[in-house]
Parts: sequence; C-alpha cells; structure tokens
Amino acid sequence: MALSLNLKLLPIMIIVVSSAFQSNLTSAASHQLTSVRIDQPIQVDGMQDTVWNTAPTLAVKVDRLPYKANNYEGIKETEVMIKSLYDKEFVYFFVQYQDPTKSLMRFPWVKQDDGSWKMLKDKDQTGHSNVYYEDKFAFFWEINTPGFAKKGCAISCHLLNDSGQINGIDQVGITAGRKYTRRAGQSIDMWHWKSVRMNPVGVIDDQFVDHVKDPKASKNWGRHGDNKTGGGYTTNINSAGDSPEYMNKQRDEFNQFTITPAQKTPFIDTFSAGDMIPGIQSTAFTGSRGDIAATGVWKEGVWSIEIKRKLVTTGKDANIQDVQFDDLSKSYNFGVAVFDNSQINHIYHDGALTFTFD
Amino acid sequence: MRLQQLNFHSKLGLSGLLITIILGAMSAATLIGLLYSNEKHGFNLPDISQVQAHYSESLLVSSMKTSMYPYVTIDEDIDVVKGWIDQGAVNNDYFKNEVMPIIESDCQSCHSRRSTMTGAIPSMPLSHYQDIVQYTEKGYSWTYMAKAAHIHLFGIALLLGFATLILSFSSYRSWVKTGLISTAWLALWMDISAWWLAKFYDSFIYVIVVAGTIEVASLVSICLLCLVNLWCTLPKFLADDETRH
Repeated sequence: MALSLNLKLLPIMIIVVSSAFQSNLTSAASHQLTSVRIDQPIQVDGMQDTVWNTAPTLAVKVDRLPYKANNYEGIKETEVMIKSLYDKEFVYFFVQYQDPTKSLMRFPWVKQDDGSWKMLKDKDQTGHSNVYYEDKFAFFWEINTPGFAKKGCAISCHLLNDSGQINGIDQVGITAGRKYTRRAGQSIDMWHWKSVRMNPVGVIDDQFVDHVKDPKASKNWGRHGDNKTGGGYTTNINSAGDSPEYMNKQRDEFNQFTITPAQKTPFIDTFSAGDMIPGIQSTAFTGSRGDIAATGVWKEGVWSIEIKRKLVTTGKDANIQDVQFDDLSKSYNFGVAVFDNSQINHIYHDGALTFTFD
Repeated sequence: MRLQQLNFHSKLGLSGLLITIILGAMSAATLIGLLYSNEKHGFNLPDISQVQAHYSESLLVSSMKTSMYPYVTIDEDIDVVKGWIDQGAVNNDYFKNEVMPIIESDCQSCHSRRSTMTGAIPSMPLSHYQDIVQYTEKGYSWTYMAKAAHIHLFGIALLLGFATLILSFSSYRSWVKTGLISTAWLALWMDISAWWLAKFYDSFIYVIVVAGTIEVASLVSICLLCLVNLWCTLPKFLADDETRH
C-alpha cells in the first residue's frame, strides 16, 4: 500500500504552502524593554557610547495621530529605538528615531523690512502650532492608572465629541483633546523632552497627569508640571509687546532659538531685516520638575536623546508625580510619542510597552 | 471519469483550487481564534465566553468583550453597560451618569462623527443615546443575522459544492465519500441554524463551536483526500473495488 507521489508537483506545492504560511507564522513583535545593570557612570551627552552596546533595543513603530491638523506637514510615522541601562542610583535611556527635519524655530522674532519686529506664529483649527514650533519627545509612565496596561497613552486622552465638547465643556478652536485620568488618586508620569525650551539647559520638563477635568480647577485640565523650586520658560517679549526683551550674547545655531541664562543680555536692536531673535527664554527647572537630565542631538536626520533619572525620587508628592522604580523585579507600563515640530499633535502607538530590569 | 485519469494540467488546476480552499479554511480558523481569544496577546484557541458574547449578547457588549476589548479600560465597564442593556437600555440617569462616561472614555475617540484620529470610524458614531441604543439588541439583530447567514450559506455552499463534486469523482470507497459529503453539509446547516437559536438559548453556543469545527475539518479533509487521490496511489483499505482491481 505504498503511496507514490508525482514528484513533478512537489516543488510547486512546497512553494505555495510555505509562502502562505510565512506571513501567518511571523511572531508578534516584543513590547518589552529590558534595562541592563552597569557599574560605571554615564555621561548624558546624546552620544551612544560603547556601554550602550550591552543594552538590548526595543523598536516601537509610532504611526497614529490623534487628529488631522490642517497645516501639519510633519512625519506621520517613524520607528523609535529605545535602550536602557541602570546602576545603583540612576536609570538611563537612549532614544533614537528618524526625523528628517530639525525643527527649532519656535515662535521666533524676525525683523521686518520696515524695522519692526514680528513674532512668527501659526495656528491650526485647534489653535495650535505645527509650523513655528519645536521637535519634542515624550515618555508616559503608568503610576497607578487601571487600564494603562491595555490602552497605553490613550487611557488619559479625551478628544472632542460630536458637539465639540469634552466633559460637557466647549473646546472647539481651543484644543483637539485633553488629558486626564478617570478617578481621583490615579496619575501618570509624563517626561516631556523639548528640543528648544529645555534641551539647551539639559533637562526634561517632568510633568504628570491626574484626574482634574475642569479648566476652572486647572487651566491644562489633568496635565500639570511637577513641583518646582525654580526655573522654567517664558515668552521673550518686552512690556510694550512689540519686540524682544532679551537676546543672546552669541548668535550661532545653538543660541538662535532660546535665551539661556549664560547668554542672556538686554535686547539692543542693531539687526537687519530678516534677522531672528529667540521668542522664548529658558532656565533649567529645579525641584521635581527638573529632576531628569537629558541631552538630545540631531544628526543626519536622526534625533538621539540620552536621559538620566534617579530610580527613586523623593520630595513632596513624589509618589503622585513620578513613577518610582523601587522594585527591580516588577514590570512597569509605559508609552512613547514623537512630536514633529508640533505643539500638541503627535505620533504614538496603540497599547502599552513594558519596562523591566535584568 | 476518475481523478487519477485526468491529464497533468487538469490535475494542476484542480490542485490549485483545493490548496486555496485549504488555505482559506485555515485563515478563517485563524480569524476565529483571534476574534474570540481572551485577553492574552496573539492567537489563542477561541474562548467559549467570547463566542457566547458574540452570538447571544448585544453587539455593543459583544464588541467590548471581543474585538474592542483592548480599548475597554476595565472589565467592570462591560458589566455596567451589560447591566444597563439588561434593564431595557433606557435613556435614564443611569445611562447618563454611568454608561455614557464609559462610552466617552473607551469608544468616542474613534466612534465620533468629527473624529479625525488615525483609525477613526466616523460612520459608526456612539455620541448620543440614539446612536448607542441601536447596538443594544440581544444577539445578532434579525437584519444582521439574515445578512450574515445568507452570505455564509451561499459562499460556503459554493466551496462545498466544488469540493464535494471533486470528491465524488475520486477513487475512495463509497462510505468515505458519503460520510464526508453528508457530514460537511449537515455541519453547515447546524452551524447557521445555531446562530439563530443561540439568540434564545445559550446552549446552542456549543452547537456553533462543534458544528463549525466539524464544518472546517470536513472541508479540509475533503480537499486533502482529493489532493492525495490526484497525485498518489491510494492505500487499498481506502480504494474502491474498481481501483483495487
């Protein structure tokens, strides 16, 4: 009862069957980032030193936008590569993603032909900028928000409904959405790296999201800055509101987009038409809001951002405002988002990523 | 005419059809596995509670338990919505204070007429009571049921028709052919009938699972046996009298 196979057909069958199975059996991509223990300190300079070679890379595709801005010309997808290391006191992250444009021109002053100064601004249909802005990157860490493990960043994202309202409050022309958690006591840690306002002073704008959904209680609803003891950014504008108040001593690429303390000097107009002065002045946050060091470098179409934070932060409200990596055997849920020259529009991913220590 | 007597190119063409049907059946099984999996990532064997939700719960609740589950914040949200529907799905304070906040939080980012976010479904809004209440009928709606049933019946009948016709020209013993052909058609009728009956009796969920599995298994078996008969010599215990002699 031997089976005799017609061998002429064998190659065809193998090709057909194997090609059909190939796509079905591809394993799901990993969503886990593992931090590797090191002993030597790391210099946070945005450069990928050899020590980073020991850390595995998590690749995350970000390709979802919360809304279609009518003047958004930024990237609509990119792949974020993340590595992590830690020592006995600090956790470090190295983030890289492709962004063909280095966008730093955030609401700059430009001298006009008639000698006056004009702050360049744009607004999309939600009242936010996508032209004269800056590149940004964000980490979003669950502190204690049920559902984050499933929904990721979307857990706190609330977009306008059919009536143009959020939580019963008219938001048309004001925003595309608001961030807040569902119940009191639930919070999320947000690390907002800003290429113009904070990168030159070497810190991340450390923020958090809680349950506040009333603009009377908080202008930015559930989104808040961590407690600070000093520092921040303000618009560089004189009391008359018609020109800059300060300028930098040096005028080079690094000092063209924000006024920093080391460079700050009163504005004296000796400029020509078309010259540019930063529209913002920045000082490094101090206190909880400035407890994450970061340096970003853009080179040949790639942002590289190196980040350093204490595993455990202290101070008033630290457990509400900061994720605490106080149990190295635990898994931590997080998400990431890329802002390409955009004030609120960003590309993100569905679901949550997990972070563990080796 | 026997399958083995066909010329090479006829065998090649028929083989293509049979392999395609097998791949289609496997894809359908994969889809079922993904749709009715539990909360674990990736492919799992169908979870009976998920199947039950699909056929005997409202479309709103069954979606929250299956395809939309990743967007549901916590499982208790499903219980709140289900409880409201079980109480008649009326536009009362409970709907406004308990159900609507869940819909706003878990559904409206995509299911809104004005949403432009990636993946938005503005054509299926869940913005107001009138939008939501149409998805609260228990089980498939009669309209949806009739639509899905006739598409499945016509589509699978065509596949089974081709497959069983090819099997009828094979050299297998008569009981093999009669058994497989009868089983495949009976399983199809039982599967679709149980869709309707599960709307009233939850136990018919098990009929759907069993009959559906037999339906796919029969179809794949018929195709595999036909392929074997096209290209191989049958073992004697399966071959009919004419072939053995």
